[in-house]
Amino acid sequence: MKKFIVTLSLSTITLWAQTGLAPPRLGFIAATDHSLRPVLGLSGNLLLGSPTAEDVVSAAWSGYFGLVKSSSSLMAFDVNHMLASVDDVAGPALFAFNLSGVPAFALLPQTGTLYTWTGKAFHSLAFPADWLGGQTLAIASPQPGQISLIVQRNDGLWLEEMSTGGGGLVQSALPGIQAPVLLQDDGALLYMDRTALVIRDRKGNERRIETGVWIGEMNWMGSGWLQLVESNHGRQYAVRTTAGSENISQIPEAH
Amino acid sequence: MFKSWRDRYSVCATWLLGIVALFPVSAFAQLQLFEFDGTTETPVTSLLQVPPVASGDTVIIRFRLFNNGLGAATFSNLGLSGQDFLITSAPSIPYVIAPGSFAEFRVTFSPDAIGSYSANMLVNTIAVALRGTAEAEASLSAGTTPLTGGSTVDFGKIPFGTTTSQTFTLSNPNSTAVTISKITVTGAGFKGPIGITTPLVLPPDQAATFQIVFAPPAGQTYSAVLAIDQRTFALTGLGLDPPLPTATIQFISPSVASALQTTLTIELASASQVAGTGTLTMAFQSAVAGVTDDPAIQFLTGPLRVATVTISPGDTVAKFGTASDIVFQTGSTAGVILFTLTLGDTTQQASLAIPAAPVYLDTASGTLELGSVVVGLIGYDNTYSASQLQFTFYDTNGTALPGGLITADVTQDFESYFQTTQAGGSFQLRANFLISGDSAVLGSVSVSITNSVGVTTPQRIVF
Repeated sequence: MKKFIVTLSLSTITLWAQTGLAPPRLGFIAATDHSLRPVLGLSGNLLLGSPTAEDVVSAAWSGYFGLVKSSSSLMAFDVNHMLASVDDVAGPALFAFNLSGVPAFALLPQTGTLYTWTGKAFHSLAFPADWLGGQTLAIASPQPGQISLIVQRNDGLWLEEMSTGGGGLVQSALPGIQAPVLLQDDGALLYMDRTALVIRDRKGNERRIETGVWIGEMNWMGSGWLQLVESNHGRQYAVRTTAGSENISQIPEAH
Repeated sequence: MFKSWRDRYSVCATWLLGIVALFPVSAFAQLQLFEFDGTTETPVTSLLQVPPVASGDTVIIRFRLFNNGLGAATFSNLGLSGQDFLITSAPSIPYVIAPGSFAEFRVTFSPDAIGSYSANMLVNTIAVALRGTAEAEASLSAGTTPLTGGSTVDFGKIPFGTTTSQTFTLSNPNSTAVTISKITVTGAGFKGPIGITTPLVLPPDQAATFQIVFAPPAGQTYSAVLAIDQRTFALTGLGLDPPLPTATIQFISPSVASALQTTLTIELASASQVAGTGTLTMAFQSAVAGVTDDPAIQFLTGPLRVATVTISPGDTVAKFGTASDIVFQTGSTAGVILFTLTLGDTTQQASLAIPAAPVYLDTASGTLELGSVVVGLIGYDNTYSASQLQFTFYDTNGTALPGGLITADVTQDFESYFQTTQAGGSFQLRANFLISGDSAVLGSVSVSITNSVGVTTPQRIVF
């Protein structure tokens, strides 16, 4: 990264600036070729970087850290390094970060295994998957020791909140909401209403971002960015969810 | 059963071989003369009656001299004498015929007047008397071109689904009336005769006309036979695939800028009658010195800069897969994007100019932290010429702080960055201001960047 220095003296404060230039990186995604790739550029001008992992089943990037599930391994990484991994774990994964963007949980619905991130490694927890009564679609970490889940039951979607030990289960129905859904770490619920992405905060206030496409999958792509995957054609989109700067751009196919 | 006379002779020769194996095989070489009509070989006896022809017409008799013996035989003699009979094609004699093989020669009979004709033909030691008659028949012409029996009329090349017709004239140059009993056209793609009824009696010096229509139902060669009593004429024509309609590249927005995802369609001048495929390619001509390409300029589906275009019958818009348009990015470098469409033998081009612009800031963020201010900018400079960076700090009341203007010449820094980046003109800038003093007075900062085109609209970042 190129750096340069600007200095300034003020009467009351002194500013000393160190700046750097780099290609803009919006986040990481599991690309159409199932590789993990950085998404570079800006709205309307996206580029996929070189793959950093292959055979990726699930991926999420908080802006600072990433969680990746390949066909057999669970991995945590930052911009430059893989931080830890767990091998011989099957199926896709759901991910949650805390409010600082640090990995919090990884849930493997196929085996009902919940991993928590200790800061250096994954640690599996006894998770009462049978209590949920359905298929888990999304997870979040609203506060330490707590996990929120969106569960698909026969009668619709439910928000379930509990301690990681399995106690204190609180359930509330989410009428009228269908998959795909995501839970934000601040408690906001993201879901699709036809072709509109809806962000519902904990107070129930909703913000809509019209995408113009039917979405079958949502993933965390970066800070303020979501990856949406079109239902029919598998085309991928990057949606900036920052209030006042919302927009959608198509992500180029991987080559 | 024997399939032909030749087969019978072959079997006979094989049987004989078992009996006379001690004799030289050349002694049993046997030449046999056949008449060949294009399909069937018929043994020729001492008298061959040639089919009657109209005076002025020509009939071609094809002969094949077979060697049914066990050794090579020599075709050593071919002679013909007689009015209006002529050898028109023969191998160079002497000609050695391998066992089981043959030599072909042709004799034409072209009587120029009504009457009976004869000729004597000698093939090695085989003598054949040829007999022929010229009858009073109507002469045929296609347009103004006289036709002789067996000749071919070419209807030319026309797109399938269209038609063309040819007028034929039957005329009687004889001194007696002639009767045409039957006129037929046999073969796909041709219709007729139209405008004539048989039997038809043509008095001397009289004529009658009829039409034959060539209507090819597909893009291929067609042939048919026009039969007028005993005489036949070949008809041929070629159905062509109609050309693809003229295609035009249409941009959803003809005026574009950098960092844009937009679409184009390929519109056809009319509904296509045929299927076709082609390619649409993108190329970029950079307007920035020293910059040859911008990888972000690409189609967003399929290969980066090549798209396959398909057209089905009935289409008025070409397809990209199943879609009627294709999305592409304009990148972050000033220049011209050139699209080239190749469909069949035709090529169309269209271009989009990406004008040079001031630096565009997509996002600007600032964070006031303990002892520092972090300003982050994401944007693009499609001229690669950013030169000056300016920060103006304001207090919490919105008043510019005394000495709060920080200006930096970043020309070299951006030049170095653009020389190595693969992200076109896009950049992410992070400015970390270390603060000594009371940071609580800082309320916001305004940021602007200058390039060769101008100064970007200042972005105000509130802490």
